[in-house]
Amino acid sequence: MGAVFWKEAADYFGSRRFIVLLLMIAFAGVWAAYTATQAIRAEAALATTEDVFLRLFTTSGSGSTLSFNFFTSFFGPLLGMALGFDAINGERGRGTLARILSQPIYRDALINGKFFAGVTVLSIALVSLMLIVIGIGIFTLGFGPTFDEITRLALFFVATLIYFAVWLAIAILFSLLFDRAVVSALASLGMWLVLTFFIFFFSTTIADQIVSDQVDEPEIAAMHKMEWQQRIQRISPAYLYGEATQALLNPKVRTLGAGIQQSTEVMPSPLALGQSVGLVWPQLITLMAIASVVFGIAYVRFMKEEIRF
Amino acid sequence: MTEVIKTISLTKQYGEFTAVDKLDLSIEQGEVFGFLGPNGAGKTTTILMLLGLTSPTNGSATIYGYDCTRNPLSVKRITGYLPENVGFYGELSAEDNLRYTASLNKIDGEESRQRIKQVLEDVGLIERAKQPVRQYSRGMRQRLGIADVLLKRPKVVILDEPTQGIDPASVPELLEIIRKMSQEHKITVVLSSHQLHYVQRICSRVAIMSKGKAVIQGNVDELSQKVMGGEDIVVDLEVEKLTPQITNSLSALSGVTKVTSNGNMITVECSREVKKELASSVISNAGTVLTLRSADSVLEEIYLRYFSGER
Repeated sequence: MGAVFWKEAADYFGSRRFIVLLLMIAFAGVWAAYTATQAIRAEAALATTEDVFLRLFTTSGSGSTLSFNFFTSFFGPLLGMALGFDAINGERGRGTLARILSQPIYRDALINGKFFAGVTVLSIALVSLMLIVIGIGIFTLGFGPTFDEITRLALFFVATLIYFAVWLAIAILFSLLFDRAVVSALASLGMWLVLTFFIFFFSTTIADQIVSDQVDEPEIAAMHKMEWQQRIQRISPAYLYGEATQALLNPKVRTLGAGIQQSTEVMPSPLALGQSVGLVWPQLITLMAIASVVFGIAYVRFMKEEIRF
Repeated sequence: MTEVIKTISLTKQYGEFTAVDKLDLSIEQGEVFGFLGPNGAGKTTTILMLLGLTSPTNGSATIYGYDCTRNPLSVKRITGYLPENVGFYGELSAEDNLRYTASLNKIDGEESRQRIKQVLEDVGLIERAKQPVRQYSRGMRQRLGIADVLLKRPKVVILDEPTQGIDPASVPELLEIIRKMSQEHKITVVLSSHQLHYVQRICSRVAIMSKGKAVIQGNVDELSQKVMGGEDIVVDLEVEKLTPQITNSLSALSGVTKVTSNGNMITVECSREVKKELASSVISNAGTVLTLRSADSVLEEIYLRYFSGER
């Protein structure tokens, strides 16, 4: 697997699509972090040093929602898909698949090598971006992050990487299912659109169907609807990732989902690190499970595939 | 001679369709074995089973005693495979493409550098080693494919349609590389092709596949006996100046059944392949051969006859 891993990692780093997307994310992320420092400085309410490094990743300047975290959740999947969408069908189309598989390697070395090289490349890119943002923070604020902040950022990194890996795995699976790279790229994009944006509307519609309005107390009905909506949205890795990073980067988030609205009304006291982790543990595990299952399907499919060229 | 490749009632079914049907092959060391047949006859499927890339429904295949299904890694360590429409990473140079193959074979460092240099020299691409492969012509790509195959110093080489899509001018060069490879390195070569006159030029033995079965196997002379069943091969011969001595000496050759002439053109019917003897007989009678050709190559004749008879 080693040989495939190093070759693929080198290819990914050198590939134009990766460089272009990475530059976009780097630019957007750094811009977001920079405007965040400006906002933190300007607004009196935000001008405490408490969790300031975490806020660098979640705050956005001048009222927009475009924080660093927003960009990772938005562009991250694209980056994963860019690496994976032609992983197998690209090799087949070029006529290299037969040649590589006729070398004395186990068949799974190819798909494992590609997946883990992709994850490694994504993690290097992500670590670099986060360090740049932290650097900007230290430079403009004049002090460094606390141990607690570093730990939370490390966990944020892990969650983000798993989230990227989900999309890489989905893209690799589609590159196996569809013979043409264009088709698999579009399929991945479609999947991303559905799971990231449309799931909200679907979940509303479905929840409306499930929960009847013909009850005495409309508040309870609304509550049930919201619960159902949330259950359905939690199918989506994007939603799970959003919940996980929300709690990890903001110690004031005490509950996830339906309870959030209430928690913002009372003056919340921040959660300790361990409690925040406890809160997002199900989300993290589920994300990891989705990545494993999707990659597992791709793996089995690739091992069983009849190699017709 | 040791037997290198052996298949015993090798069978592959895709649902109802039988791609390869109880195939028995036996290929000996150092042979250049031609694998012929129309599209869909099961040639590529057989090759994929030999490499363990597809598992047989029934029967077995071994290369140097290694079971191709159960021990594909050992088989692939000693077997080089040039797929039909071989491809490379276009953005990488020839050298880098080969370096990747080397590393997949666990050949690294100085050893890898030397081998890459050597195989690129063997196929005549050393001058363009640093060029990205996307700038290569089809023929160069095919030669790079052979370099790629030779890199692991294989004992067996399997070439699927190596001459397909190459301009006729580059084919002799490619065939020469294949011939040299089998002779100098004592490599057993299996090649599949439809281009029969090329196959005839370099193969010592052939098998003709049809509907998953090897309908006929043997060397070209044996086959001509079997299939033509004593029917005559027609050879056209043009000499500079026809003399009666030439006509007489040609008629006297064994296997020649009929000689007719028209000006300086002679038509010879014979029951076996006698082209070489015809030529030397003309020369020994102080004549000069201008052209000498069979109406079709022997193999082509066999092939066509076999498949037209079948229809």
